[in-house]
Amino acid sequence: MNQDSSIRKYRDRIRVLLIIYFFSEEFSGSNLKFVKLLKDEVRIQKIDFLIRYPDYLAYELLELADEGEADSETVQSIVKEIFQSNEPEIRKDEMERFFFGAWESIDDTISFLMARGLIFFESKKHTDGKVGQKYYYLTQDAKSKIDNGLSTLPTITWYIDRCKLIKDYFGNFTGKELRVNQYKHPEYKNTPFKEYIVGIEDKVRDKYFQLYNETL
Amino acid sequence: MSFSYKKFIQLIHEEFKEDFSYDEVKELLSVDKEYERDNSSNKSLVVNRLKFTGIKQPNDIPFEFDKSFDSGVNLIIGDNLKGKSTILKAIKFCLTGSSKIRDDISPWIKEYYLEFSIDKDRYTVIINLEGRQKSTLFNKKIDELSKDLEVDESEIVFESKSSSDFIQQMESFFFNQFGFYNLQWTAKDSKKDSLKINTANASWKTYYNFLNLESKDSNVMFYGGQSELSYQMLLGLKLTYPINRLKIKKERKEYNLSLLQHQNEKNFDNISKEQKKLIREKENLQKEIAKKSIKSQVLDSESLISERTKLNSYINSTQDELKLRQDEVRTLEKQIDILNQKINSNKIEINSLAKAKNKSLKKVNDIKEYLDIGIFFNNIDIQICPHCNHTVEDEQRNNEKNNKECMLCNHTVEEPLTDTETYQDKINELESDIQKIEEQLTLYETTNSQILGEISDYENKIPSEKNRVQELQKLEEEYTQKHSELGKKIISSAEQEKKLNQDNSSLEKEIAVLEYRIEVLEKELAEESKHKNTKYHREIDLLETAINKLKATRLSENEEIIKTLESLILEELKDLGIPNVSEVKIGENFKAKFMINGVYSDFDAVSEGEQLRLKLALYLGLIQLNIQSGQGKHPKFLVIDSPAKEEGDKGYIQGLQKVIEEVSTKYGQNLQIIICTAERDLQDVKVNGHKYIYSENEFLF
Repeated sequence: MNQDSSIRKYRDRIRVLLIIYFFSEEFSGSNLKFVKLLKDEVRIQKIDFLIRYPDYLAYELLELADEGEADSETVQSIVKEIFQSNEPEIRKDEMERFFFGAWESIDDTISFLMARGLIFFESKKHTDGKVGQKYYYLTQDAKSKIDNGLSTLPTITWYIDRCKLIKDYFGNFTGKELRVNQYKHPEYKNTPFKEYIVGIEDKVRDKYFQLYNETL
Repeated sequence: MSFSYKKFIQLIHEEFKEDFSYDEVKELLSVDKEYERDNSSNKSLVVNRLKFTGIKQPNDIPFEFDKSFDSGVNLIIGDNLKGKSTILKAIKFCLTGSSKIRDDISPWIKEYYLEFSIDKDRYTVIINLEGRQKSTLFNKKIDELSKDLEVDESEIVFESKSSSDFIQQMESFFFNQFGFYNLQWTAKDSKKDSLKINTANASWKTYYNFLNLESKDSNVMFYGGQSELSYQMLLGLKLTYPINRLKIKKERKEYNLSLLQHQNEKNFDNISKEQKKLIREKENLQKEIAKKSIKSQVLDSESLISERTKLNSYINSTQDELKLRQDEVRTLEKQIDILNQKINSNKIEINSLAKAKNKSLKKVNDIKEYLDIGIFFNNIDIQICPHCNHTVEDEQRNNEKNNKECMLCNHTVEEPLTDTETYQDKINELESDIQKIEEQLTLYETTNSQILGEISDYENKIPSEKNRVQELQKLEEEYTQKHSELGKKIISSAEQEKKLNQDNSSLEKEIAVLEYRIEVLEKELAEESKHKNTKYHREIDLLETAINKLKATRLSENEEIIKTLESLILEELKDLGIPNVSEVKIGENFKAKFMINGVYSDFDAVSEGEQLRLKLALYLGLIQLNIQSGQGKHPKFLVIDSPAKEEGDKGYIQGLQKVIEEVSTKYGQNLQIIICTAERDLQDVKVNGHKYIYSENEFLF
């Protein structure tokens, strides 16, 4: 396994773990090992997209500000920060377009996390044999490891902060809703199948200028 | 007489040959070849008998006067206003054809008879005044002319049917008899404002008047020039005729000259007026030209053209500078462009460097994450099999640790993250790259900011250059506008100048014409004032010279005669009882001067009591000269009317009586004097002629 691919795999794992950690709901079922549950893979995929494409995130934030759904000045400083720290380039982690948009198989990641007892995954099949609802449980062990160890790692801080930010503004959005938002961009929508989705930095800069009369 | 008129002409010509040809002199001095006309005559005129008949008014009383006269002194004594003067006037009328018989008496007389003799020849003139005047001169005595007798043609000298013809005929008759001719004088025309002069002839009547001493004339020696002429005629000196004629000629010339001068003055005035007028016109035209040329200076196309040339150079220099400035602007803009391109290419570099930097940063992030995450996950033990969900046993774990076999699938596993140093090296390498990139970036950015500074320097220069360009463009526009205006002006000025030149050339032509006319006038003036006048003056000078020479000749050639005359007059004066005159001088002009008490006096200066005697002395002197030396042509006939009228003192009468008696004695029958007087004191005077004494208040007819 080459270095890049290793690096990528590790990053996918930590991202998915953190998504499950931040976007799951409290779980209080019969299995006491599980403390949180996330039910929607699409949501994971779409949130992951927002983490991996800071420009799309910035655009979504500007949209919210434009629609009055978010505080304009806060959004302005967030977007400014994103662009000034060259996130769209440095933090972009390209994603392929799949049938329903940005999608990457997270099965390996899930298996890896599961093998280490950080999450538990189960999928309930429909009677017609199609895969139905997928359940992602976060274990107590994972929670304490994240809370006590992971969050102290300087390289992870950015992911934690980004997840919090996304959660603040988009935590209530379902996967489907997020998917609809992302489809608004022809750059996203028109990306051929199995190709990397291109960035929209210029659009963000335009929108930002339009809103704040200021160049990013 | 040695005088030759031909030689005289030559002499004069010699003197005037510069001005006149010989023929001209000859022509000027021509006196009809009669310069030798003057001669003497010894003939005497004697009135023998006067008879006239008529009817006295208002009582229609027929009358007849008939008296005879003799040579010697004849005396008629009668009271005043009884007809004495009429007798003398009747004689004059019969001899000359003109007389001023009193108007109240003249119509009474119907027929005159006068018998007279010239030397031995007897003549009778009969004038019939009934109806138109008929006059006849017969070569007969009155007694031989009875009305009943037929007269032989040969006995009639002439017949005349008008008074004027009679005057003419009598003049011819007497001129022939005595060798008289018409001396002439010039007189201004009597008509008012007339400039003409007339040449008057001294007539027979003129000469007769000189023989007829009337009382009223006694105190006038010479009246007009006529007595002078008469005296000359009676004296009959040689050259008198040419002198008289040349004098007339000279006077006519002088008159013509004065006319000419008058005319010349007029002409001169006119010409100089015309000249002045022309000069004024010329000056006006010149002024006009000058005025126009001043105007034309305003529109002087040369100055316009030079202005345009100047403007052209302005435009050229403006365009040159404009081009320079525009080039400068272009250069600056090009520089800016180049610098911008440089900036852009630097920016591209910067971008690509930034990309590279970001890429490296990403890689550093990736590696750091990988290391962190790797450590994180490595510290978590595999607990379950993701495939079967079975829990992994410690044995399985240890096996993997010891045997490097996967605890789940038994494949060989690599020691995870054993080579962290390599990763750290990689990070270090990347970070060093980043640093290099950043240095590069800084370099580019510094360069760019420097370039921006340069650009701003250039850009700062541009506005002033552009302003200057705008100014120059404006200037160029202004100049071009001016240029086109000037062009228009030049065209219009050229047109105006052309017109002006045409005007001026026509004015100059006019001036040339005027100048020519002025020149002609100047010549005319010179001609007028010089040539003609000079010619006239020279002619007059010549005549004057000729006259003076002739007069001098006359005087010198007749010196003896004049002296004789002077001494004869002096002698007569002494005889007439005026002894205090010591010398008598007959001047060139035949005016006698009398030396009294050592001083020459004119006739006028002599006392009235002596004037008649002076006059008589002059007359008697002439007669005596004729008798004694045969000089002159005095008819030796005198009529004296009322010699004592104004001088009634006893002494004078006695003197007169003595004179009459002395003349009677001295001259005897050599002369005839008819004296009429009212002075009865003279009735006892002894005369050798007839003496008729009428009683007091007795009419003579």
